[in-house]
Amino acid sequence: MSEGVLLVGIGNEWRGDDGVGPWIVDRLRDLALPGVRTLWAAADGLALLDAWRDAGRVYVFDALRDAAEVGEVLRVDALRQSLPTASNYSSHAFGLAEAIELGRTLGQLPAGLIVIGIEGRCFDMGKGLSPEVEAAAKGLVETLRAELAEDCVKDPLSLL
Amino acid sequence: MPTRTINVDYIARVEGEAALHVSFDGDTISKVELNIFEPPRFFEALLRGRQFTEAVDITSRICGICPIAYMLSAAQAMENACGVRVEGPIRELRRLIYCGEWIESHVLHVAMLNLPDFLGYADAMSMAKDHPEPVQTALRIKSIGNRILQLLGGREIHPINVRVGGFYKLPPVERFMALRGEIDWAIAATRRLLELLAGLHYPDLVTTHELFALRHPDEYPFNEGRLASTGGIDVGIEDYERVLGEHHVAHSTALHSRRVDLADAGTICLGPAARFALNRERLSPLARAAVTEYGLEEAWRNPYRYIQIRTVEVLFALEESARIIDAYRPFDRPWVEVVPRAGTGYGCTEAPRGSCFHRYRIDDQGLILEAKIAPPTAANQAAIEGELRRFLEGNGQRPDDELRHGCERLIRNFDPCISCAAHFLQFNIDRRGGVRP
Repeated sequence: MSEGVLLVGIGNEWRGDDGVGPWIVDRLRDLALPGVRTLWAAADGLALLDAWRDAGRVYVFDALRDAAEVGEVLRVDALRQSLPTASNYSSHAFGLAEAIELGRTLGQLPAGLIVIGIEGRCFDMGKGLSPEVEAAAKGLVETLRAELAEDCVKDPLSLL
Repeated sequence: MPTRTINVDYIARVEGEAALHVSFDGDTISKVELNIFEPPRFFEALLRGRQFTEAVDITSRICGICPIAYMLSAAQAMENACGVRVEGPIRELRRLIYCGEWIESHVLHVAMLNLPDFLGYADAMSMAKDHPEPVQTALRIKSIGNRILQLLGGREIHPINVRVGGFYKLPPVERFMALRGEIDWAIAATRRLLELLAGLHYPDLVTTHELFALRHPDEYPFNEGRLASTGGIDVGIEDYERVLGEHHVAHSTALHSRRVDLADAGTICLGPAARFALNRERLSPLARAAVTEYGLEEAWRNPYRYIQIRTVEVLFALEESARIIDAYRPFDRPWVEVVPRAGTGYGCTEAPRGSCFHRYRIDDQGLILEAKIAPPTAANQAAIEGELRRFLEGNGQRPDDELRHGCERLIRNFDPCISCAAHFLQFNIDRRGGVRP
């Protein structure tokens, strides 16, 4: 049975703003909200199909590049809308969008799937977020804290 | 003189980036070059001056799909340099983690990258709409490979628990046993996959490459054996470079391999077909039975049938995993102490794509003085070019789109991992002298 909320952070914390997904997920994990699991995902999009198999609702946080203004946040309900996919892929590069589309085809998407992208500035080697990205990430943590807490109050059983 | 150029910007469903340049001069093909433009990665140079214990984790980074091959070849080479042999349960667990890597890599290639060619789809995504079952099955089998790597390696991509001498620590026995039910399911599922593959159409093709792989007297090789070939080579791995050598070609950042002990030797090929050709008598019982049932004894001669051989190897890896887990008993200290000494060590294990050879020279403090790494895909480049040339020679009158698709399909049979080799695919055809479809 599908249960609870899964928060997935995609990215590499050692490549600047690429680490914004894991950064957000770590902070939400520290809040220890009931019924909320977290996961860092690195490179294998296909592994996500497995990871969200038992989750009721999934939030995926990932860095964007050349899709918006730096620090801008885009939120996509992936059950209603497709993400743009790369025209080529391999098992080295089977990304989030491909995993979602394959999951859609195979009927292996969770009951809720929200993808949240944050436009980055710098993807060079090294740890740490750009100021605009960190500000956006902090805002998202607050938004999600409220959103997840509200869910707990509204329907506590749904998050068990 | 009319010239015709066809460009394919990229060959999909292979690992990495390369281009194929084809020139026709009249009816004759004047050039077939697989141009690998992945940037060189300089691993051999950056290993120099590092501690012998670091090579395992550094070389792991060569490939996200087959890190275990690099880690275990490096570990074995360092142990060899220091006069240590790793036996018993540690050796068994090294085979188990290798099973995970083969399962993960092979099943992805079979179902997601290669099967669409046989069923007539552009990719796995479109194939899954009409044929969801093999994709679902493959993803579930793949997750077993992932779980084995997580269990023993700490994580599935670039594992962190492998060291010179063995492993840093081992998980509790219950976590091994938790995999058993799923492995039994996967064994049955892989047999169904073989049945599906048996019903596909395979173009006729017989290759003449000399196939090289490790050969072991008692087991289907992952982690140990002598270097053998279908041409009669049978040497210890310390003699690898007396037999096979890499040489630079101007059109590729991957080095090509060839026999260095024979001036007029033909092309060579590593990988599942080579392992199968040289070791199939030592497959596990159900894998061996499948070879007989589906008439695969000679499948290693036809690259289009490599998909079946990979699937037989998945079945083998699953049976081997079950055997190792069933025999597993907890033990103390999962590593052997390895004290550095000055010398040269050799390691060679069987990556999913073929023999992965390492040689290191270290000093008495364990500092690496010299490193040599021969990844399997590089070794296969000349063989792939040879097959492309044969294909194009027989099909020059066909439309460019057909040629492009045919070339891509042929290349995918070999499952090249360009990222490892670089050191794929823009497709250019020049037609001079009026050969036009």
